[in-house]
Amino acid sequence: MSLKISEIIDLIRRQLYGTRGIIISLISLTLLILPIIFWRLDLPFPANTLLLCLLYSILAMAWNILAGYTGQISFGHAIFFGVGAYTTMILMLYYGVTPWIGMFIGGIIAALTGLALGFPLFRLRSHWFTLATIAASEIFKLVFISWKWVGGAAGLQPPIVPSELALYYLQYAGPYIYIYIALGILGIEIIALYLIINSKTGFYLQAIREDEYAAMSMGINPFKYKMIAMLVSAFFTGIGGGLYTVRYRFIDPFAVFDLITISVYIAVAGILGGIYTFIGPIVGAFIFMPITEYVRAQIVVRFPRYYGLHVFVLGIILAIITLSMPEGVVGWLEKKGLIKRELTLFNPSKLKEDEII
Amino acid sequence: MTSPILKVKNVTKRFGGLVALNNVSFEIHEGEIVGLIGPNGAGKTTMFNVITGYYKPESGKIYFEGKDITGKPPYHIAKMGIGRTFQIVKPLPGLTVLENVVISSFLHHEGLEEAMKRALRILKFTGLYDKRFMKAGSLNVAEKKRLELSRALALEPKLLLLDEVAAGLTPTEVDEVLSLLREINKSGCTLLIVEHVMRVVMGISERIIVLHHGEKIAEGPPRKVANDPKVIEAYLGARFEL
Repeated sequence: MSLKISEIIDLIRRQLYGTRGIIISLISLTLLILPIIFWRLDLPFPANTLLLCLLYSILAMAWNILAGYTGQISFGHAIFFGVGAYTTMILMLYYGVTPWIGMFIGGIIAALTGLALGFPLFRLRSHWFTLATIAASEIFKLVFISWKWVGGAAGLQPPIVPSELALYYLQYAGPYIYIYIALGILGIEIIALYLIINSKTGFYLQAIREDEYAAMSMGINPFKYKMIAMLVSAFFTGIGGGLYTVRYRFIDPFAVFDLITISVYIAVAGILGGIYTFIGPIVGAFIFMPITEYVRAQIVVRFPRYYGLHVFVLGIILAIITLSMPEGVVGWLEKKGLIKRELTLFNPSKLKEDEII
Repeated sequence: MTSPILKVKNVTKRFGGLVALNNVSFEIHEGEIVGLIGPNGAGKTTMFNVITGYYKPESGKIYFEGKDITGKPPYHIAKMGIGRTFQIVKPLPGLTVLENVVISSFLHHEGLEEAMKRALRILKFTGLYDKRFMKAGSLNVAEKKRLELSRALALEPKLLLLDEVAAGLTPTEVDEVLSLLREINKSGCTLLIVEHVMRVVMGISERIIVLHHGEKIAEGPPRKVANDPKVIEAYLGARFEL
């Protein structure tokens, strides 16, 4: 895959044309202005929720490359999230490396972890693969719990730094600055994934999802391309983990390797938004995270004696959405013809007849 | 005659106690159209799967353009220039017809635009152009067979293995497939076809190989094979008039 600057500019130009362009510009503009409004009006709850939406958008987009496009449903993405989070934290805490670089290295270490796990995991198909990802993620959690050098079960926490080092250590009060960092990461991720999906690699991944056996007859090495999907997916999930580290400044194995709040939430966001669609995971994250946060905040406060009730209510809401839209929100909109599926950069309907023959 | 494009040498393939292929040897020369016939269970599809790397033979060798390809993975063999279709069609159901063919075109065209143009050209040729934006899963049987053919052609193979492309088609559709196959052959592609529709296999093949219980029982021009008493007994049942 060639990555030329001119191609990226051309890609953005094509997407920002017409109604679609107006909608994308408006959404981007809103996302850029919202944190300032929240900050000015001192509204930490919606700001925190927005940050969570963006974080889970990053994670669900990354997950969807492997799960949606390649058909390898993982419930173990907490592994890459945790590895990214721990790498960023350890580099910062033990070696004084700025998280700006630490997050990126976290992504690389997560990607390498993905490659190593790919060898045993991709020997398994469909639900066996999924079960193995859960098992692997629990193993990672247990290893980190008993690993003293990385803080064990107690976790790790960096000291508060003086304000002149805030930029170097990315320490800011409140979620506001982190929203912009999340937006930056998400923007880069969207462009990178879009280029991959519209390349040979992206098509090959989908061929593997549809029929691995047939894909081989078309010259596709399924193992190689599953590994590529894993690499990309784990990389961005690791960066997401790094973002978590700088935002919450405290990590322990129970939080970052959690099966439910990390692995399952990522998958739910992806499935809810539309697993076979490009922007589905973002839509899913922006629906799921506000519901989760709101339900949790409201119900836990009002019914403190019934802790766990919020999960029950959340489950009912999810069941209703998934039953009425099994293909996800974006998939449903596509089916109804309300949004057009334009997957490829190259539009064949614009091709002249004489160019074909 | 030129050196063979495909050489199958003493290939034996067993499934447990069943001998699917027993010491089968044959050669195919560049530019030929060869038919592979035999009753159900004779080992025709197994032969295809052995040649294209889906099965590993217990013994024997397969050479493509002089190179040993025995036991190489299917994607490697596809890259070398052997295309195939599946007897039980295997469309990528969730993708469009065009996407199905584009994926094959990527083998020799790295860029999306080139691959797309190539795929559209092939769809024009196979007559699926009008259905290019339809989901492959929603095509009917005849169209799915054509999609198989289009996808194999998009690999730009030197040798094409066709597994019952005419099965289940109406007589008109069979005629269309026949003329397609002749054109494909004329463009320089060698064909090995498995077929039960005698009109296709006898009408188009220059040479016919007959398998029975995993063994080669006859080989030669259609007229000779059709009159071979062993073939009549094993497969044709009655004399096939040419």
